[in-house]
Amino acid sequence: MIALIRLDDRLIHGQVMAVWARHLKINRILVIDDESAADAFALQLLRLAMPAHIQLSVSTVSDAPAALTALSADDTRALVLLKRVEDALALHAVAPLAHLNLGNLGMRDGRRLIWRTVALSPAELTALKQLQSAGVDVYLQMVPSDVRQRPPTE
Amino acid sequence: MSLILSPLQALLIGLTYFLANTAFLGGLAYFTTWRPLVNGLLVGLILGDPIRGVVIGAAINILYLGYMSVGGTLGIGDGALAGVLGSAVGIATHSLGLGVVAGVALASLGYQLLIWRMKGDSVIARWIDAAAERGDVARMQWLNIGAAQAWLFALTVLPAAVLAVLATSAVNWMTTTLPGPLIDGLALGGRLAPAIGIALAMKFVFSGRNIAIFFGGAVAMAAGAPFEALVGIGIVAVIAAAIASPERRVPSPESRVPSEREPSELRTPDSGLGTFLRWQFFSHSNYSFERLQGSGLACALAPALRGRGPDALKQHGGFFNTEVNFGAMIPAILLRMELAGEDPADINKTRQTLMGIVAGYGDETTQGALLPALLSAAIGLSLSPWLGAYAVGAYVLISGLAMLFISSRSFRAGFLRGRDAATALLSNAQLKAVATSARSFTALALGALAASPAVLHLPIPVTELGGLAPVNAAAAVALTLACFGLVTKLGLKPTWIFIGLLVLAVVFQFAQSA
Repeated sequence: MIALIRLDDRLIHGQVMAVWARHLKINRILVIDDESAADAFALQLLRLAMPAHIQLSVSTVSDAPAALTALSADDTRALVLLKRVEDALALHAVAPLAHLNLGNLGMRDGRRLIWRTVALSPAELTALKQLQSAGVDVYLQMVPSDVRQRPPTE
Repeated sequence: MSLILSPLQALLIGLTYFLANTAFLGGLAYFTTWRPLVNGLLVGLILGDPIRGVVIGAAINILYLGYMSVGGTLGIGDGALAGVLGSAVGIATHSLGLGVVAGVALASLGYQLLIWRMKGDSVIARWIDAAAERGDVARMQWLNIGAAQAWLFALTVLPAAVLAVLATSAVNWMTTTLPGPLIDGLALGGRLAPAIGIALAMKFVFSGRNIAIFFGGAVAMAAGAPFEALVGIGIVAVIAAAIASPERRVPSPESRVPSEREPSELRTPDSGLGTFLRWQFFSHSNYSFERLQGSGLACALAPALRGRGPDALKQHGGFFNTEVNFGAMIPAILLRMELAGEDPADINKTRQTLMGIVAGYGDETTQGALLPALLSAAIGLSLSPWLGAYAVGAYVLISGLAMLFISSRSFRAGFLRGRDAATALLSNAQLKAVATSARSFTALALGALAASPAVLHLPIPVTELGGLAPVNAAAAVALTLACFGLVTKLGLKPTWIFIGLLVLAVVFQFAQSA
C-alpha cells in the first residue's frame, strides 16, 4: 500500500527519513522526479542514503504510473515523494492519487508563504484546487505530530 | 519551605533560556544548554540548589530524549523551556514531580515563541536580501548576527523570566490552597512521567537485538549493577565497533583522485576558516520558515564570494536546510565550486541535491543515534550520588567537542574533495557501525533508566519478600512498556498519555487518603 504521498522540495531529508519513514514503518520509497532520475550524482547519493530495510526507486513522471501500480499491488508500505505540484497534477490525470501531503515547498520568487515552510505560486494553488475538486485529500503537515491543515481556498 | 524568586534570579533564569537558544555558543547550544539536564543545572546554580537542579533537569530531559528537531518542528513542546521553567518550579517547591508537570505544561508556550521568532526572522531575511543585492557583506553579517540575536534575546529573556516568576508563585499558591491528595497526585504523576519519555525514546532503538539489550539493561539495574559499569560497556562497544568495521578509516583526501582542481589553486582570503566559523556559529542565527538556514548559508559564504556578484549571494540566501554538523560539508562544497568559477546552475543543483540527503543522514546519525546515547549516559550518571553535576559538565564537554569534530572534519572534506565528500560520507561503514552501536547502547541505557529507582519510584506497598528494588524495577519497566504500547500500538499522543498518567495518580492519591 502507499502510506504517504508527499510534495517536498528537499525530497529525502530529516523529516522524511527520521520521522515519517519511522512513524509509518516504510519499507519502500519511490521518488518521482525527472531531474533526479536523470542525475547520476543525485541517484548515487539517494541510494547510499537509504537504510538497508528500505528499497528505493527513482522514476520519471512519465514512468511513474507503472511504478505506482506496482506499489499498490504489493504488501509493501510505500512513501512516494514528488518535488513539483505540476508533476502531481500530471500524474493524477493518469494514475489517480487518493491523498497528497504538502511538506516543504520553499519560498522563492513568485511564491507566497502559506503555512510554515510551504510556499505556493498562484498557478500551484490553482493546480492543488483542481486536485482537491477531483477528490484528492490535499493537506499540509510537516511531521506526524502536526495537526493537518487544509490549503487556503484563495 | 517554598522559595520566592528574586528579580535577579528571575532575570538570570530568563538569560538561561536565551543561552539555550543562542548562536553565540558556537552553534552548540542545541546540544548543550538546550537540554533540560544542562539548563536544569544552570537554574539550580542560580537558585542555590544545583543538586536538585540536576535531578529535576534529568527527569525532564528523559521526556525529551526521543525528541528530534527537524526543519523547525517541535513535537512535544519546547524542551528547553520545559527544562528552565520546570527546574525553577521544582526547586522553588522542593518537588521534583510538580517541576516536571509545570515544565511539560508550559513547554507548548515555547512553540508560540518560536513562531514569533520565525516571523521576525523572515523580515530580517528580506533585509539580508536587500543588503546582498547591494553587495553590502558587512551589513549582511550585522543583520544575521546582531539583529537576529537581538530579536531572539528580546523574545527569550523577559518572557522566560516572567513565566518563571508566575509559574513558581502559581504552583506555590496551589500547594497551599488545593486539596492535599490532588497536589500529591500531580507530584506522583510528574515523578512517573519519565516512563513516557523512555517509551518515546524506545521508538528509536526498540528493534531487533536491541529489544534483548533493553531488557538486559533493566535486569542488570534491578540486580544492582552500577550505571557506571553499563556506560563502560557502552564505551568499549562503540570503540570496538569503530575498530572492527570493514572500513577502518575515512579514506584520506590524498588517497583519492582530486576532482578538477587542487584547493591550493582556489583563492580564498582565509582558506575557508572564516566560512566554517560563520556556518558553525550562525547557520541557525536567523531562522525563518521562509528560508530556514538560507540566510545563514548566504552570510557564511558572503565574504568569500565578493567577486561572484549579488546573484550568487541571493541564490544562497533562498530556502535551505540541512543538518548542521555533517552538513558543514555543503557550504564548503559550494564555496569550492564558487571559487572554481563553476556554472551557477550547477552550483544551485548541487545545493538542492545535497541539502536534503545530507540532512536525512546527519539527523539520523546525530539526533537519532549519537545524541540519545550521550544523553542517556549522562542522565544515568548524573543520578549517581558521587558524580551528579560533574556528569553534566562532562556531557557538555564531550557532546560539544564531538559535534565540533564532526563539523570541522566534514567542512574540510567538502573543501578538499568537493562533491566526492558527500559520497564518501554516505558510504562510510565506520560511521554506520558507530551509529549502530550507539543505538544499541541507548537501548541498554534506556532499560537501565526504566528499572532505576532513582528515575522511576513507584508507590508500591512492598512486603519484605525479596526486597524493594526488583519489585519496583519490574513495575517501572511494566509501566514503561505500557506507555510504549500506547504510543506505538494505539498511536496515542504523548500529551494524552501524560494527562492520563496524572489523572490516574491523582485518583490513586485520593483513594489512599480516603
